[in-house]
Order: sequence, then structure tokens, then C-alpha cells
Amino acid sequence: MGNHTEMLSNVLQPVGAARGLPNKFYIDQTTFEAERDAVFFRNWAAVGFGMDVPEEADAKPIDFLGLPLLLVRGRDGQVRVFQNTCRHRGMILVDEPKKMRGVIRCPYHSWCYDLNGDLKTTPHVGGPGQNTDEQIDRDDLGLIEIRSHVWQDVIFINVSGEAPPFEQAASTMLERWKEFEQPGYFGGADSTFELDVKCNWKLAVENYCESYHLPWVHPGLNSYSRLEDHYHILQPGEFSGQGTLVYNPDLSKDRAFSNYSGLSEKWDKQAEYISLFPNVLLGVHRDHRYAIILVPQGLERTTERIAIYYADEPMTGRDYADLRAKNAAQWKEIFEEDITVVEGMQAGRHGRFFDGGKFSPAMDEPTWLFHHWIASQMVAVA
Amino acid sequence: MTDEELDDAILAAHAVSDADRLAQLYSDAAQRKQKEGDGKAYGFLLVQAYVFALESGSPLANDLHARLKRMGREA
Repeated sequence: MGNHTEMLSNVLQPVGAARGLPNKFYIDQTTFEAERDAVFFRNWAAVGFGMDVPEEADAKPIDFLGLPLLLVRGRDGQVRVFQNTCRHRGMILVDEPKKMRGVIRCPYHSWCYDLNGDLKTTPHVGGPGQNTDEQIDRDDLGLIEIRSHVWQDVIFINVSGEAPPFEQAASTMLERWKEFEQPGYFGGADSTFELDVKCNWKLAVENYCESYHLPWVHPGLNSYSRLEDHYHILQPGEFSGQGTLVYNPDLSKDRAFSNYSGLSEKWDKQAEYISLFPNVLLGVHRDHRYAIILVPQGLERTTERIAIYYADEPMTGRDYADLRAKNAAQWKEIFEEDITVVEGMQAGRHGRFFDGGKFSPAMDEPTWLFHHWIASQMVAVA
Repeated sequence: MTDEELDDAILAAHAVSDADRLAQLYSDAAQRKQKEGDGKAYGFLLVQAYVFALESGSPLANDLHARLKRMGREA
């Protein structure tokens, strides 16, 4: 890890002097694995949505950077995240999404766990017909629970267990958007989609948090939301992004989504887009919000999972299905426009003489802040 | 149902992972072994029934647990 410190000294400079992250951070497997531990496992990383396990006793296995996890909504309604590994012989417990009718039974020797992770029985462990053994202490052999926190339906985990509580780690964002801290209603099947992108996950973050590219990559968007209508959002150590001063949804001539209640006047026209480090891209508008979870599928591939939420329950009904579909289609079009550039930057990182790039102090500060944060995380464990 | 038919039914239920049915069938098999005075097989089959009752969320689980616990076979 020591070589990262030297390699990253150029990144840990003020924006005007800094270089971007070296190519290794995009194309080198060893660096990717070091980043997994330093960036994803030591912080609060997003692994899924509450709507992945919408009902009590729903369970969904996921692979998060090689870590087998099980998302479970307990009979108490609470989402928990477990390592999806039996404490007996290390067998994967659940291999497909399902509703648990009773316990979680390991398919190998049938050790059974309840939805809180407690080990309920250990069949024949003391010999045929004998479920107890004095060497088997069930209290010590429950499922390994991963520290988790659900905020606005996004499930975050902190694998190392060392991060400050989520409310503390994300305190500035929570304060900034406190007016939106009210229930959000998932729009349903027409309000979620996935994009499979051939790039390292960081490039999706970097592209999302700056507005510099809008006139070139999103000319349609730029026609009503000009570059000069945008502002940077910078919070060292937590997030970066951009906002617009001219949000003006135009989905229908005679209908509109409800607004979140009690918003101050500034949100009539403002909307904000934040990359919450490391892997959640968020957008808030007076009438809807969305979250994009970046799921690294390896060094050079990322799945973007998008879910859109509305301000009140009627917006999720049939009467608004056409508007929701139109809204989702508009966002999908914009996010798809970004694919060419993030995949192009990934390919460009194989150019061996690329030196991390040069930031525009005026326009690239949000991206620089993210690079700086990544470098800080790597150096912190060096 | 003959013993052979019961064995076949258990295998069929295993083949489709029908935990509800497995709990019932293993429970039936356990009763037969109890009547035959085969304590070892009875205990084994009772455990099998209990596991599948737990998996399926069957109300049988409570009774099976109580029986196993009385026999010193379960905590």
C-alpha cells in the first residue's frame, strides 16, 4: 500500500495543481482490491434498495465486490444485512431471491437461522437424532450481521464496522436536504431501471458530479438548463455535485406530480445532484427524487441501478402511470447519453501516457474533490 | 400408505423441495418407527420433520420442538 502514498501525492494537491487519479485506479486489479477495502468496506457503501426486499420475510442474495451478502426484511419490517454464509461449513445459504416462509435453512446440513440471524437448530449435530452438542454454542454461531443503515430506501453497509454512524458520516448532506427528509414513495416497476456500463465505477461518479459536460453530452438538457444556470456543490470528505437554478418539469400540459410538503421557495426552481461518496448518486427535485446505486461488477464494469421516488402515495397509482413512465424515460435518456463518455474515459485509461489529467479549477472542482477523497482513503490505510 | 409408498413420497417431496409436505411425511414416518419401538429411527425422523417444519413455517414445529426437547434431543 505504501506505493499508493507516493503515487497519490499529485492527487492530494489543491485543484489548480492536482492531477487526477493514476490509470492504475481504473485498470489494475490489485489497486481495485486495495480500493475495495479502503474505500468501500471502511465507509458507508450502498448495496441495494429497500424495495429489493419489499415485504416481510423477503430475502435477496447479492454479491458486493466478492462479498456474499443476504438482504433480509425481518418479520418486524426491519432490513438486515447478513453475510450469506453458513457458520457451519461456509455454504452459501440463499442463492436466489425468495420469500422465507420460516427459517433460513442451509441446503448442506440444514443448520437453520431465523430472520434475525439467530441459529435456531443444528440437526443431528450431536449424532443422528441429536440436535445439541456441548461444543456447539448456538449463541456464538448466529449469522454474521453486517452493520447497515437504511436512508431514503437506500441500504448502506459499513463492512469494517469502523465508520462513524451514518447520520454522522452523512450529516452535512442530511442537513442540506433536511426539507426532503420526509417519506418518499417508490414509483414501482415503471420507475426503476438498470444500465450496464463498461467502465470503472468511479468514472460514473466523476461524470455525475460535474456540470461542465452538459452542453456537449446533453445538448437537449442544455437547451433549457444552461451551463451558467448550474452551481457546484462541494463537501470535502462527504460528497460533491452540482445544482440547477431552473428546474422546470414539463411532463404534461395539464397535470403534474405533487410536490414534497413544506419546501422553501428556493426549491420551486432549484434541483440538486450529489454524488454521496463512495457509490450513490442522488437527485432531489420538488416533485421527485431518485437514487442511483453504482454496483461495481469488477474493475471495468459497473451496473447503475436507478430508482425514482415521489412525494406522496397517489403519485404511485395508475392515474400517474403515464407521467411516471415519461419521467423515467427522460432520465433514462440522459443517463444513457453519459454512457459514451464514461466508457470512452475507461478506454482512455489504457493510454499508458495518460497522467491522470488536468482539472479546470473553475469547472472540475467537484470531480477533483472526489479524486482527493479517494486518494485520502487510500493513503489513510497505507 | 405402505412404508414403500411413504419412502417414495418423501423422495418426491425432496425432488420439488416441498418443505410443508416433507414435515408431514417425516412426521408420519417418525410415528411409524415409534410404534415399531425403533427409538433411533424415531429420533432421526423427528429431527427431519422438525427441520422442514421450521423451514416451511409450519405450526407442527412447536409440537415437534417440544417433543425433541422432552427427549433431550433439542435445546
